[in-house]
Formats: sequence, structure tokens, C-alpha cells
Amino acid sequence: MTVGIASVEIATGVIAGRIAAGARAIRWLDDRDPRGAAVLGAIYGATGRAHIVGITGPPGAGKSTLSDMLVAELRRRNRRIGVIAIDPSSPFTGGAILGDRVRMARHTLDPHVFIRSIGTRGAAGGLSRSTHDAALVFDAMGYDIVLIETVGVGQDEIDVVNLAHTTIIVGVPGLGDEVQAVKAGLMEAGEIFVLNKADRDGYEAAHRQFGLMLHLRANARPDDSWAPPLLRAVASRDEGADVIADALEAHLAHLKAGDGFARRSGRRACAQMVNLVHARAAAALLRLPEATRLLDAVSACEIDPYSAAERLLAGSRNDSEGAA
Amino acid sequence: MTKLSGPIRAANDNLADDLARWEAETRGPFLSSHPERRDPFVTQALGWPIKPLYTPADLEAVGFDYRTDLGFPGEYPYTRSTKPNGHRSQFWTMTQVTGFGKGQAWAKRARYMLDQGLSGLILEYDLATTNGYDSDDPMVEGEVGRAGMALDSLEDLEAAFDLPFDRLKYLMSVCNAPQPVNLAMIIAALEKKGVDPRDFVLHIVNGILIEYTCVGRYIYPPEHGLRIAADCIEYIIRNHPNWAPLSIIAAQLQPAKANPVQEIAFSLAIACAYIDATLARGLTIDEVAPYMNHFVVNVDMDFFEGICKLRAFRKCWARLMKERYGATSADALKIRLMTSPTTIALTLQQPLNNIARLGIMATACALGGALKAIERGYFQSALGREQYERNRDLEEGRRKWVGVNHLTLPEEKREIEIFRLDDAMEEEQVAKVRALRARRDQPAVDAALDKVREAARNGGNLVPVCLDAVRLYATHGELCAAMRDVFGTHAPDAQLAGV
Amino acid sequence: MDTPVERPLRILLAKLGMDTHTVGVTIIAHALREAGMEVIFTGLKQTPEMVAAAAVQEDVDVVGISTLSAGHMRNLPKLARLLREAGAGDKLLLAGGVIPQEDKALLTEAGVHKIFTMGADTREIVAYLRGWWTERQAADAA
Repeated sequence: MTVGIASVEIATGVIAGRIAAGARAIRWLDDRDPRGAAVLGAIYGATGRAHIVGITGPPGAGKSTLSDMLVAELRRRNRRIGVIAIDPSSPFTGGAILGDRVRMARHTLDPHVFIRSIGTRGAAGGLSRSTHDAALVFDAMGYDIVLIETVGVGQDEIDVVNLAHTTIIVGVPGLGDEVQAVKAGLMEAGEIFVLNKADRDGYEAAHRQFGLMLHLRANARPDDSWAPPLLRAVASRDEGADVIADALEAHLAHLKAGDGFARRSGRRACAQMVNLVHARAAAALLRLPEATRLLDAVSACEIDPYSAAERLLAGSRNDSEGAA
Repeated sequence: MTKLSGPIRAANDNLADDLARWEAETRGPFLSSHPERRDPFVTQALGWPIKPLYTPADLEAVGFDYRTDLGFPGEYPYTRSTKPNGHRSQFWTMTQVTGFGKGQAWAKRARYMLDQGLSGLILEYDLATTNGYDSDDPMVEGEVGRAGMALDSLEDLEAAFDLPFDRLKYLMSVCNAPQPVNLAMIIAALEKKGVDPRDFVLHIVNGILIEYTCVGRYIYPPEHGLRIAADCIEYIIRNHPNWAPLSIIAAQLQPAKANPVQEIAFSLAIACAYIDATLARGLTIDEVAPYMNHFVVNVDMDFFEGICKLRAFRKCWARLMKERYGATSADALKIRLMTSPTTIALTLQQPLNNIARLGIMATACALGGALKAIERGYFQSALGREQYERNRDLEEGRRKWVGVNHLTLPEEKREIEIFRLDDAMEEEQVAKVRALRARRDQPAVDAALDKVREAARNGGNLVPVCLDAVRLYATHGELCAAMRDVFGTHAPDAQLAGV
Repeated sequence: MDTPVERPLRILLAKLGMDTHTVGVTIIAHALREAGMEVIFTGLKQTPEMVAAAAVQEDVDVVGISTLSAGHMRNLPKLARLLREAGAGDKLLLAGGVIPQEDKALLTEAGVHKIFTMGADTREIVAYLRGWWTERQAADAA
């Protein structure tokens, strides 16, 4: 496989903002094709500019419709937008039906909007395993904003906060989710809170609950210089996009006024490195002949998993010392 | 009937014992050497088990009472028929669907059908029209005049209505999402032809709720779709009381693979949504129900279930009107069923077999003589599961379909010609609507479209303002777009059913 | 590189034109997901331009079109041309729906690679896609 030439060509295309090149780079990264890592290395210097925005919330909160409305508003403000829309892959077959484009169809022919659907492919936490990488590709392509719409999340699956500069938490009245959200730790995460479907019964009650939680959160963090706004939206009627876009701009300005923007980008890069090391180191260790023997022994209950893991790690340390 | 019930009752006394004896002595031994060729035998649509033999004991076991459970034809609950004498006094009314090309082509075909003895026609529009676009819209390139007649302006209906209206007494028109525009177009065209609306029945299907449920030709969000439908219903009840403002199209649920129970339940729920919306306009149930009782029901190849379904429809409707709404007039309690063989059972392969299929389904027809749920995608997701399961039955051979999974002919030569529309038609239609826009009174049209937007916003009935605009030759697409400006468009949660 | 290459087949399913019948496309989508493929659904009422743009953005291997409204002789050749113009001519273009036998030759010539008409078995479609995908990956690796 000609990793080198193909990767250079695609990397050049990504930096030039060509959609086909960006699409191919994301595909390689999602497929864990070696050419993907090569492209990422080549484009990394061109990243660091995009405002990465996460949109998360419980299933049924209307995240796609909200994303669609927000893209329309951001386009009115002349921003170029990359959208990463994540849907779950089947844990049994690995297959997926990715349907988030449906609600964003009106942006399909806009040359300044790039929508990419990605399956979770086994990742938990509401993101796919390649979300970080796809965001970097969009960043290098020159999109001003990268919008990441997560899978509908439950209790603590909010990985997107580690990835995004700004996370929008979407709630919705009437589904009993007010209490869920409180339990979930969602309230501890985001920077912008949106109550969608605000024309539904139960809006006032949900608003009170969210308001109370945000108040408690502010009390618990006296040093927090950003006060998360609680906004109202009816995405099905295009209501509320302007105030959400205003809040996004305000939060970006807030981050850039200090070192928040760079710090979050750095934190994301570190997290990604840690993830990669975890995955690669584990894979390397488990390929050792000793690993197979130990796994067989654990499987036969001849040795406990803790001691087996310890022995595998000790063996690999000895190997590397011996090699040095 | 009273005479007969005596001997049957007497026979029942020891029938259960006799049945056990028959099973042990006669059927049992036979089965040991002749096992059943299917295990189990089930009904086609619902998969309910079928016993080898039914006797009066089965009726007794479920506590069947002839008077309350079945009753007599023409009397409540109308299970056997809403008419007391079946089809012995009158045949059922026969109509056919037609529509393709330009208005002139429709008129020609309609005249031919009237000459063959039909007195009623069904006018179908193309998909550009039913989705609310003019023929020159880039969205509809290639589809103008294909699945029905192209309608852009009053001009097209003037051409289509070049017909002998002394012989055409009933016209059904299908145009669900843009209903007020279509109603206005037809009213205006009838005016131009000098047809007395009291001497003619226009039946608009107005079936927007079924579009949200399973067909998909919606434009506006459901709450606006229902409001638009209610505008048309109210307008017709108040202005043309001899017309029909609605059909509940259960027929679309069946090809979407609803089973008969879902079909009856979903379509009655939909009927309730229309009824509630119309009652809110200040009419009573006895005034409203006779306009809401027209159901279009498909019958598939599942012959006996098809017959039972029609009987269940009559009974459920009568009870719903009486028990839920407190209707009292006989007209309110009687459902009107328009049945049709389902096209989904027909095949492109070996098309002549379709004649036999249609015969079976039409025989069953003759013998058989809800809004919140829509918004939340309940019906759609229930149907998605059914669709997948039924398809697996077919693929794994549990259902046989000649020409598809049974007795197939490789490389078959089709015995019939396919009707093909001349490609030039689309260009001509596009040129026609553009020429119209260039020569009409544009400021007047713009003002009329503003009035439509205003009515859409402030809740006024949309039919009269559409009628004013149509008379000025505002186009169908322009009127639909004016309403789009106010209502927005519908983006459902699940366009792919069941996902 | 330590992690293995994993390439599930990605397929864009789209309804071209104004027809809104989704029974067929729903069944196909479920079957392909069960076969381990990633299905991206565009929604209804798509123009050839929209489908071509989505196919490029999603970098799919296959574009599957469902059409039942008789516009196929016009919009399918147009889609094939738009895909070629966008440099995506290597994607497999499939069509299904109500397409008469005698239209197949013209459509094939226009760049539609395979047509599955009414009654096509989903297992046959899955087998066809798997076969094509194996060949394509072997060709890419060579």
C-alpha cells in the first residue's frame, strides 16, 4: 500500500479545504487505516483554530433539529461549519443506520457546510472512536466551527466535554428528564444549557429545576468565571437559534480572553495521547506469547486476573530493560 | 333466525363431547399416517392459529350472542352491512383512479371512462402537485405529469374539466397536504364551467393525517396540517353540505404493512383527531359524523381476514360514535366503506396473474361488504417493525408470492405494454406555467398571496383566501409556498420507519 | 501500526424524487445494518445534486437509490453524471424500486451499476454487496 503518496495528496487536499479529501481522511481515521494517522501528522500544524462545540443531551431532546437550526443561524452569521453527527452502531453486528442528515437536509447543497455521519463503532460515552480525529480534519480544512452532535446520552456518558471548547446541554420538558439530568452529572458539565421543545407542557417546572441546579453549581464553584446561561428553544419552529449563537460567541470570547481556548485544546490533545497509549500499549502487551498463556490460565481459573496482569506487566518491563 | 336457534342450541349440549370423540377416533388416527403439511396453520395477516374445524361450540365458548355481537344488516351495530338488503337492491358504486400528463390528457381519458358507463371519477395529481411544487421547480424535475395530472394553475383544471358534467356526478380528488389550494382550484374551475355545486358531489380526500403516519406527502408540521384539513371540512359543511370533505384512508396503512388490528385502531384514532378538530369549530357530533364516516379500506390476498376486517370496521365505528361521542342519528353511526384491492399484492412480474389476484380481493371486498401519536412517531415505528418482519416471512418462504418467490420465470417477457408519458410533456407544462406568470396581474397576485399568509397566521379559514388568489391565477406552488412561509415544513423524527 | 484496519462498508441510501414510499428502503436499511454495514440515510425528496453532495461528504462506498415515481430515466443518469463530475465515479451506484425490465439497459449504460427491482431478496442484495466489497478491497490492496 502506498501510504506515503496517497496520504500526502489527501493531506494537501484537507489543508486546501477540499471536501472529498476531508471526507477520505475521516474515512481512513474511522477505519483505522494507517494512511489516516499519516494524514493527521501532516495536517496537525494547520489545526487549533476551529471553535469545537458539542451538543449533547438525553435521547429525544431534539438534538438534530437543534443542530439544524443552529447551523442555519451560524450560516446567517457567515460562519463555515463542519458537523459530526454520531449515531450508535449495533453492538452485535457492527452495522448502523445513521439518520441525522435527514433533519439537516436543507444544508446539503451549501458549500460551506460539511455534514459527516459517524457510527460509534464500539465506543461508549456518546462519541465515536474517531470523533477527535474528524474534528481535527474539519479544523485543518478551515471550518470556523465544528459541531459535534453526540448519541443521546444517559447518566455519565459525556465524553464530549473533554473534546469541545463549548458544550451545549439540551434538555426537554415533560419526559421526566429533569430529574434524570440532575442525577446524570450533565448539569456539572456544559457551558450552555438549552431547554428545547419549550412550547410543551412542563416547561416552567423544568426551567425551575434547571435554574436551581445551575444556582447550586455556581455556589459550589466560586472561582468559576463563566456563568452558564439557561436558554429557551423550540427547534421545530426555528425559535431560539439567535440566543444560542450569541451564547456560543460569548463563551468563545470568554475562553479567548484568558488562556481557556488553548488550555482546552491542549487538554484534548493530552487526553487523545493518553487514549492512544492505552489502546496501543494494551494491544502490544496482549500480543506477547506470555499473554496468551496467562489468559488461558485465567480462563481456567488457575490464576486470578490481578496477579496475571501484574505478571504480564512485570515480564514486559524485564524485556524492555533487557533490550536496553 | 329464531327458528334455527332452537336445534343448534340443542345440538350444542353434547357437541364438545362429540368433538373429543371425533378427534380421538377419526382425525387422530388419520393424522398419524397423514401429518399436516404446515405447522402451524395461521392466518395470513395476523398469524392467528387456525383450528382444523369450527363448530357452534366455538361460538358458545366465547359467549357469542347473535343479537348484540352481530345483529341484523342495516341495524346497529351494522356489522353485516349498513344496508338492510346487501347488494340485492343496488350494486356498489364503481369508480376508477386516473391521472397523467396535462389537463387535456386527463379530460380525454375521463371522457373515455364516462363513455364506458362510469358516473364517478377519481382525479390524481402528480407528485410535484401533491408535494406543493409547480412544474418548473427544480425539486420536481423528471416527475411532472408522471404519477398523476400536472396542476399548476386554474388553467390546468379548466382544460381538465372539458367534460360533459351532465354525466359526471361525482369527482373524488386526492391532494392532501395542499388541500385548501386544491379545493379552491376545483371550486373556481366549476364556477368557470357553470356547474351547479348542488347538482354535483365533490369528494376531497383531505387525508393529511395518513400522510404523516405512513405515506409521507406532507408539507407542514402536523398541527398545521390538521388545522388546514379542518378549514376545508368546515368550509364544505357550511357552504356545500352535499359534498364530502374527508376520507379516512386506512388503505394506506395496509400496504405499509399494518396488520388488520393496527389498521382499524390507527385509522379510528386518526378519525377521532379530525372529529375533535371539527367539533372545536362549534359543530355537533350528529352534524359532523356523517361527514367523517367515509373510510377507504384495502383488502389484500388474506381473504377471510379481509372480510372480517370490513365487518369489524362497521361495528367499531358505530360503537365509537355512540359510546365515545354520544351520536344519536343513524347517519352518524353508519360507516361508509370504499374498498379497493390492494396494489401492493400485485406484481410487475407475470402481470396477467394480477387479474386473478384482483378478482379474489374484490370478492372479499364485496363479501365483507390520532395526532399526538403521529408527532411522536408512534405509528411510524410500529409499522417499521411490521414491515421488516413481514418481508422476512416472504424471503424465508413462509408466504408464497407467484412471480416473486414462487414459480418465477427468469428473463420473462412481459405480455403487456407499459404506458409511457411523452418526455416533451414536461417541457410544455413548464413553458405554460412560466408564460402564465408573465402575463397575469402580478401586483394583484402578490396581494392575494399576502392575504393567504395573513389568514395562515391569524387562524382565519384558508379556503376563501385561496379561492380569491386562484381566481387571479396564483399558482399552486406559490400558494403552498405562502403557507410554508408561515407554517414551516415538517421534519419528522423518523423518516425511516422503525429507526 | 498496531491497530488493525477495519472497514465496514458504508452505503448512502436515498429516496430520489417526490415519491415518499419508504417501505422498501426501510427494509433494505434494516437488512444492511444486520449485515454489519453502515447505512447513511439522506431522507426523502432528494435531488440528484443533493445525493451526489451527500455521497462525497460521507465518503461512502455505495450509493443506493430507491425510486418509485417513474422519474428514474431522468434522475438516475443525472446522478451518475454528477457523481463522476465530483470525482466519485468509483462509488457503486445501485437502484431499486419500480423500474421496468426494458429500462435497465439504458440505465446501465448511463452508469447505474446494478438494479434490484420489486421482489428482490434482501439476502441477495447483501450477498451482492459483500462480494463487490471483497473484490474492491482486494483491488485497493494490490
